[in-house]
Amino acid sequence: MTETALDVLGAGLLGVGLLLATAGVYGLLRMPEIFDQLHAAGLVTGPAVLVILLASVATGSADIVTSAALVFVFVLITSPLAGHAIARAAWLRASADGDGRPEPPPPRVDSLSGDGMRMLVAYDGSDPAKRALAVAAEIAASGADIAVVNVAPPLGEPDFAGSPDVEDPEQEQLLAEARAEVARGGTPAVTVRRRGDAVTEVLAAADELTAEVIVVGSRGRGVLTAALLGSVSTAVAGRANSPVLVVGPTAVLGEGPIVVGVDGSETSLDAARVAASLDRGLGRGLQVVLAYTLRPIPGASAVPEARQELAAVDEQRAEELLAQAAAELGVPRDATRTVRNGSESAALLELARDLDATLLVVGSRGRGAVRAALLGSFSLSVLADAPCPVVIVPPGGRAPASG
Amino acid sequence: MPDAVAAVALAWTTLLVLGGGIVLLRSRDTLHRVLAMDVLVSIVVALLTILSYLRDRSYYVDAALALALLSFVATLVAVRHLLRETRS
Repeated sequence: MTETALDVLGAGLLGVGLLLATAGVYGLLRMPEIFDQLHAAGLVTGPAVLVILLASVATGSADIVTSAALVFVFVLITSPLAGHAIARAAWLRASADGDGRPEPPPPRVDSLSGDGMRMLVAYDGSDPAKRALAVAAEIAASGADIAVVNVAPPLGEPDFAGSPDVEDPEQEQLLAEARAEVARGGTPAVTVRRRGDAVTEVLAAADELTAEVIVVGSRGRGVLTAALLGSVSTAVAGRANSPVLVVGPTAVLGEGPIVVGVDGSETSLDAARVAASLDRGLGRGLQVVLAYTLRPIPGASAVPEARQELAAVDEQRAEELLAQAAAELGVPRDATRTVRNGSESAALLELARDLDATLLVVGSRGRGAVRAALLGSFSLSVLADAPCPVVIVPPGGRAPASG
Repeated sequence: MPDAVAAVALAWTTLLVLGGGIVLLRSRDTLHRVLAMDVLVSIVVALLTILSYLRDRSYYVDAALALALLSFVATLVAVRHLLRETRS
């Protein structure tokens, strides 16, 4: 009885193994490209051999089973290693030759040639993206170059041989739409097709085009939701090396000045420099704002005079910091102001609303989404309900060179 | 295991060896040949294993182990050589 069962098991395993091996060899014969062939070959060198070795249990011979077990372990380890080595060689060779290179298609125009500020808009056809595009087009009308990038989702299986030339009709459609939209403002747009992870590809495209500002739309998810659910705009803002212009759900370009928040830190001065160079293009005027809070003093309510005195000290300190920043930036004194408020972000938002600000520029400490959610990120808290687009400047962010 | 099953399997594997041989012959460049050799050796390992089932001798499997070891080292060396060529 046991013997019959073992026989059936052995025959079954042999059958499966041979089927796998046959499929593999057939695949090797039919597929032309090395990467496709690797897949088929892996079927033979790995599973097929392993299953045939497993069939040794049916022989009932201890010697054979022991030897087969040894080979089983050996094949289990070496088959993936050998396959990987070959795949790696093929990959490196393909990159060296440049043909069949498994990389996204190159941009149709590989640089933004104009003299204006170079902007890259991430566009996926969604409502936030449409708003971002509209804002970018509006800014571009005052002399900036626009590139629009669309990132198609990665193909389910990495199609090494074919993907570079695969045209995605949907992507073409979206980019055509974006081109038309930007063209209405009188500026021609360069379009860039990419495929893969949205954030990575947008950043890569920005690097490739040496974009000075990346424009993204935001659904206006809160800090925590963004960290949990993932937010492309937040991730781009967190990882970019260049300023990122985030267009929130309620953001409209105002008629007023560009508002930039400073707090005396190096990051905020970077942000102010970026704001200044943005202003050179837009010519809307600059408003440098230092928002500060009074230090909480325990028991101060009992002694109103002391409280006033301390408030005066704080005020003076804020004025000094602001004067310092203004001097560093070369901004006239009347373009600066201090705001006393409960929180910096609330103060900036309120001011931006009051002044009908064109843009709000804030520095970022470069915290990722998760850390920002836990630690609280000033720039992110501004995003969700900003009345105007917000420019987030990473630490050490390059200011756009030209206006 | 009934001899008949093992015999059929052996015959089938022999056909597969021929198939592997055709893959090897048709390969266009060194990398394809390395891949084809890797596959061919795997098929021969399977062949030796089935042979040991048929003859009820364990040392065929040992031979298969030696072959797999050789093939593995050969593949790695060939790939490394190829890479060096590519880089220079």
